[in-house]
Amino acid sequence: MSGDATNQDTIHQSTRKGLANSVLGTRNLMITAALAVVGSIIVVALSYISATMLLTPRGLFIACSFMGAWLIPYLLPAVVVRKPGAAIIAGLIMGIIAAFTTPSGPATIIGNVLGAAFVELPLAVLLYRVWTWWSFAISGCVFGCINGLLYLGMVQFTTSTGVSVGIVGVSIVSCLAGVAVCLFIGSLLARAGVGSARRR
Amino acid sequence: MTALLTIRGLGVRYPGTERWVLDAAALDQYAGRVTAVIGPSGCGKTSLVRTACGLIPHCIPADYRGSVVLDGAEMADAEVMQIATRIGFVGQNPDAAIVARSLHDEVCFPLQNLCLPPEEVEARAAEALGMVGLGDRPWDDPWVLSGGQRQRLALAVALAMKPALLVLDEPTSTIDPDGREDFYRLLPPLIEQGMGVLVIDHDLDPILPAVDRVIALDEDGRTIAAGSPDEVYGSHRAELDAAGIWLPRALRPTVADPPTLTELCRRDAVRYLAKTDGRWHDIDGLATVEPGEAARCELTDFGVPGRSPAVSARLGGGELIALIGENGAGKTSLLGALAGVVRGSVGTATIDGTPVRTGDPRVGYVFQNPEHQFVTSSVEAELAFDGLQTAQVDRLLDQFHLTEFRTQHPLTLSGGQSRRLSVATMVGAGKRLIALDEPTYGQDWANTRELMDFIHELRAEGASVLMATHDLELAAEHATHIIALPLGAERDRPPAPPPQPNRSLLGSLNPFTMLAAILLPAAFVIAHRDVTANLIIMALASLAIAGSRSSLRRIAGSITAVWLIAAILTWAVSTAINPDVYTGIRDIGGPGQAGTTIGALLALVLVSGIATDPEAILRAATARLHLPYRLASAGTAALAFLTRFRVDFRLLRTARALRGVGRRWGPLGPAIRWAGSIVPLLIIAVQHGERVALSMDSRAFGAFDHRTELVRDPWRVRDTAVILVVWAATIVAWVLW
Repeated sequence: MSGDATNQDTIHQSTRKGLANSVLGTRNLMITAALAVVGSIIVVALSYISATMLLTPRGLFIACSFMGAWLIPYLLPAVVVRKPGAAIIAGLIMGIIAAFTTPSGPATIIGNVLGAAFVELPLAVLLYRVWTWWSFAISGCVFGCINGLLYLGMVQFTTSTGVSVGIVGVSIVSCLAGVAVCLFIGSLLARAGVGSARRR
Repeated sequence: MTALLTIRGLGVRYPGTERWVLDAAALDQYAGRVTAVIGPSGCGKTSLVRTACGLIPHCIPADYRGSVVLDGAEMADAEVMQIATRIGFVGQNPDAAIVARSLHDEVCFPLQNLCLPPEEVEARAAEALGMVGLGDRPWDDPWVLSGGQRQRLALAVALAMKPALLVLDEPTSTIDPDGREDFYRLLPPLIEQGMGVLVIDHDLDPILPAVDRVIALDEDGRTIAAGSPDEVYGSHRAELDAAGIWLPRALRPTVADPPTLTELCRRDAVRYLAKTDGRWHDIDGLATVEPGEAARCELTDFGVPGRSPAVSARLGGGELIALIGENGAGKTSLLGALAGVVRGSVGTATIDGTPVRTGDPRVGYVFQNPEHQFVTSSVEAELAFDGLQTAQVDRLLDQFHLTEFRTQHPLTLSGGQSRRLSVATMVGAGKRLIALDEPTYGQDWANTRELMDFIHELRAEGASVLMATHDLELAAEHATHIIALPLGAERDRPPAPPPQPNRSLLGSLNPFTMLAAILLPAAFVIAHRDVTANLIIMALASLAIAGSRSSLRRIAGSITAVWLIAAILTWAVSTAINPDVYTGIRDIGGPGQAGTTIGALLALVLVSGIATDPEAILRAATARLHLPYRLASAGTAALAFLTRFRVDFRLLRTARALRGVGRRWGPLGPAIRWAGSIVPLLIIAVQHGERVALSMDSRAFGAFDHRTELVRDPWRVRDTAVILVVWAATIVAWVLW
């Protein structure tokens, strides 16, 4: 009995290190792939909506107000998996899917990986040590700011400085809302023990 | 005799909780012996077997206490190879086990991960498929198999790894009784050859004669009995009964032996049966109203061609009709068609004389996977959604043992709990016809009894209940009528032919060749934007696509896309777009220039991929670009997820329509349902990803940093030649144009 009691006191965790506990660990990788696939469903729908929005200044405002929805597919894998490279791999997978399911071809892989890189950059600057609401909020701001400026650069009509600032502002606010949605979904999954990473 | 596996004092703790599942569980597993673990839902059986095969703590991020020793090594310290070559695992969900596109590839997957030589991989795969009776159809898509066949496939995958110990986690809970018998019939010869088996299953009857030791757990995971089957079932019957554990059929007070599918179903036609004075007898047609009297629910030759035979019924209300048949007979399709989830039905279905529409609130539908049907974010909101008062909600929560989970998201419940909730949502709201798809699957004895009591309450309120079930004993005991779908639908399906190599020039190239070849022509198109050159490129690409020997549909779709998009853009730029607004497309040039430039670029992209597929590109990227094979596997898995999640997404939206979500938004309703389905889809997706990861990890995924490739994509002279020819032609055109 004493042997059993001693046994019961010993708590074991996996001693496998490295890959298993990175984004390339099977579980993290499959969760990232699954989130990327759902993300691609959102991204394809948004592509059609945005393409029709960029025609007028008012449409541009509306398109930027959707920026938070664009953010979700890239940020959510980082929020759920919390491993370096999760957003980039999700972007890569979304790109591969889009390359074969849309007429955009392989060029879309670069676009998706870049989008994911905007999200992951602030997390990398923080040395992947901070996985909390404010680091995700910074990611959202960076994503919103860069994409808002890109939208302004893409359109052919000219906008006043005030309108331009407003458009970037709307984009950032929308992305912060996207961050909140990601955190909500992340907490929902964590409460259920679904998708929770090895954090101890 | 030395034990293969020794477990002492086991408890398991999942992340985010301090609660330990299992209370000092212990077992010794020997070669050639069968150990069965029994216990009520939620007692920790699955945690025990997952720890026994190393999925905990290596794949599922949980801790365990006590000790689990495999071949003298603690499980937490064991490497992938050590576990994969000693333990085979078959889980409860055959859908989650599928990682490849053919039976052959599925069985080869773990052997490739173990880096066995290609010849041995092929030999072992053929042997394993032959052992489970699937040797004649290696090229079938796993998704077209019946549930029973898919579980036999999962067994073949485990056996191909030649394990010393086979761990079975409720492997037959989703399959029909005949499939269950077929599955367990495969084991005794393997046990005689020395393979140990550790099994949990609600219905142990088919394997009970082979079981050497039974370990019974109570609802808190405490061991209440351990010993031979006679000892445990004979001396501890009262404790087992109190814990709500299924007893073997011989010990259960049943009226008679349950009928078998073969006895109940015909081979060629739907059979209708009714129960009179406890005895079942054939009836010509199912009618519970007198001829001439109006039926409340009426099905007239209602079915789904190719998926479910047509059935007819005239119902007055208050019936419980069991819909039975083997896996793949069409039970789910029939119920789904009634609810509008499955399209393409024929015949008519009416309630009170008016046809049943898609999303008809008079029809209640409990999905086979309950997670598809929840529309709110808490258990209590789910019950209140159809207008129930708080007191009614409280009563239901209590009745279904869900009170402590009332604020929890429905998708975070366990399998058994979510199924109980899905049935509970059928209360109220004036449902006339309630279609239940396997409502008792995964429930222990006590919960099954309570669910059936509840279903009888629904009947008593006047609803006609149509219940698809594999549990023939349950059907015989509780149903008033049986609709037995014909046998043989699955067995008569011819096997898929082996894949034929694409013998066209494009098909014989390395997957990267055309990707490289089109780079220069694409640059030419962008630089020149010349209508004539673009049209020539579009024409040449169309010819190449036509000669690619790809599928006719793919060829036609690709060529049409090229010319249609060019035409639409030409038309749009010339006439449709208001010149005062966005001019981005016009910057490319005049109407013809813009349309043909985009058309030519699209043609080049399509020609580069027409004779290949994403898997070949990922394979080539692994071989040539040293893409980590884990990443390539993620890409392959993502492609499989895409098909599955599209179906899930459609089911989620239809379920919302059935529950009336978005109805008050009128034409915006579909958009509301689309947006409302995203979060549940994400949760389902993550859960599926986790399950697939378990399957992959139990199949030696990641044992090495590479794997055996069975298909090679060599770089030949012709690959270099094609690139040089295309580039040379482009350079000539560039100079001359």
